[in-house]
Amino acid sequence: MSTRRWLVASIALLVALASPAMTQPVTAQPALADRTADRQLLVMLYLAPPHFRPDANYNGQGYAGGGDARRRVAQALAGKYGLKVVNAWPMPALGVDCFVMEAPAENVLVGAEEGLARDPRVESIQRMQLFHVLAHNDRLYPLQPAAKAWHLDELHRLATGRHVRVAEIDTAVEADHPDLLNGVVRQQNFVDDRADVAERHGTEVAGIIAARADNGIGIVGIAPEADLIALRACWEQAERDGALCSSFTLARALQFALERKAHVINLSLGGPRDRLLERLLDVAIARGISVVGAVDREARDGGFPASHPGVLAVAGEDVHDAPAGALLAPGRDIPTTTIAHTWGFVTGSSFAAAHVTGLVALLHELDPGLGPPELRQLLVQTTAPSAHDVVDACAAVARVAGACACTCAMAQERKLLPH
Amino acid sequence: MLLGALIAGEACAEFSGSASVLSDYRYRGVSLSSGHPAAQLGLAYDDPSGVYAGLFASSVQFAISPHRELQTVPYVGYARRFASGVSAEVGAEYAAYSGPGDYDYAEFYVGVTGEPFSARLYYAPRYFGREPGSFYAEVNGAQPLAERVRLVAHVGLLVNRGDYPPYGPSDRRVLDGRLGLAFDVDAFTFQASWVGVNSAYTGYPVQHGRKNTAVVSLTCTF
Repeated sequence: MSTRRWLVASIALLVALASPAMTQPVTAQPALADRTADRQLLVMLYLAPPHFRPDANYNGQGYAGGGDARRRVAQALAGKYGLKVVNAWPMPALGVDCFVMEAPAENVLVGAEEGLARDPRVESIQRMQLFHVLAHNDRLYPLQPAAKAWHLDELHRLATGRHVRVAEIDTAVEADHPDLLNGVVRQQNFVDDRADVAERHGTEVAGIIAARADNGIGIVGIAPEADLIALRACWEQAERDGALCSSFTLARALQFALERKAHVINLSLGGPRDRLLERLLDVAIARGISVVGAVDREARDGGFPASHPGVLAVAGEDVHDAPAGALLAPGRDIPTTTIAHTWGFVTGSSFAAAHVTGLVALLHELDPGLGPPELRQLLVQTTAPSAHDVVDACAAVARVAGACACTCAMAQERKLLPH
Repeated sequence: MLLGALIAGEACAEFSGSASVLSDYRYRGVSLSSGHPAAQLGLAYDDPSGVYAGLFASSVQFAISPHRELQTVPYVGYARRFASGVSAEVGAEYAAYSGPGDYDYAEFYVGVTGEPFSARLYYAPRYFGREPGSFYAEVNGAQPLAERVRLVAHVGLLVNRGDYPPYGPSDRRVLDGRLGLAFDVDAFTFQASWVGVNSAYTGYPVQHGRKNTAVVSLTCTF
């Protein structure tokens, strides 16, 4: 057989192998699905670690291939239990490929949940859950600059967050806001396919963390030279204030933050406990990534993810019913960036968490080896357990830098405390 | 037999495969298809325990025969992903060839992967049927450039430990490299690469063609 005929025959064989019956790629649909979330399941299939494969050695398939095989299994599972596959995303940090499956009705969902839990092809399943951002829209309170309370000018002589990657998992950030220019090094949308989305909550949190300093406008972020990775996993609701996120969008964003080797992750949101997210947070914390979560005042334990072990839970300083162990930081009447290239005042534990995220970025610049266990000790005034641990930025920076931060008297006083 | 036992005990295990056509089968920088197109098939099994196994087959063409021959490579290994995100593996493969030559050999390897790079060290006591054996070290990388496009790169070093008279003199160290772009469209991957090797005396039982060449391939995964 001539080379040309041989090549044509081989290509024809390939096309036959790729017939629709064998490969039905999942058509990714926008993850913005708060109306259907209560009928969705997250189905995890085993994802092998990358390894030697002679047929894939040179093609850069990082996860040992098999994606089509898993899609085929997912389609078969969905067909068996009356579901429809609506989205999928590999999560190598957990060794799973996550498929979102949707049931046409609640009774189908219950049956499918029971069947999938017993199916040996399934690594684990859970229901899709919704989370919400933790902010108020109280913008008329008098100006009370939190940056001044933390002596930011003096802290920034020692650290500005330079080269520290901070992943903000939130609604979309207005990256071309004049006070955020060049601060957002990467944006990724896990909600839908839209580009250039700008939303209020994400932009407000971003400003507190990383608004540029000395640009003659607006505010100064706590870590004005940090590299902000803006991950849109939440979406504003058109019909009412607030924003929602789902288990799936948050999981994708966390996976992305792990891949990009973020040093700090900010989660100014709350909701129910979620097994998939817990697993991803455990991986992040095990890798030494600092995770900061906002306390949900509606939940007795502070809500999830703030209450998850290893997460730095943060509430506003004016909150008197914060759960034990929560850190308290400025969270009321905070001036910050907001959409349409403007500034406004915000209140809520979301913004207290953003303060701590920025401060952790400063500490990370000073000592990259700091892990989550040491950070909490550093951030509070005393090492003794307390129900209300007010964050002392000056003392924390002074301890790590080994130099005077804020007033030297204050720093010296802190140095006398046991480490 | 091992594969059968693994299949019998599977729970959320995974079977997958791929079929490819290539303009030139460049293996460690050297054409195993005498510069002609080649067809390949791969089947793989992944067990949740970390054990994996598979079978790879490709058309090849050696210097001593004008006909295409068949290369089959069964392999088995164990891979584990650590909390840090780094994976490590150990495994073995056996390359068998049809036709008149005595080129069959076993090879053992250890590897580590930390996205986006992977590195492996191989040792074959009787590489392509010749003694003493050879070491091969490689680093592979893949960097996404867009949603469906990634840059792929490979560099490898073959360490020959002697001359192999049937194939002429061979350099003790042979360096090879590959740089390409891979495009994914549904179940297909199209790749265009530049492949190069720094020596004309590699010690392989092949017709030595160009040291540098462009290779295109089309792969269907299933």
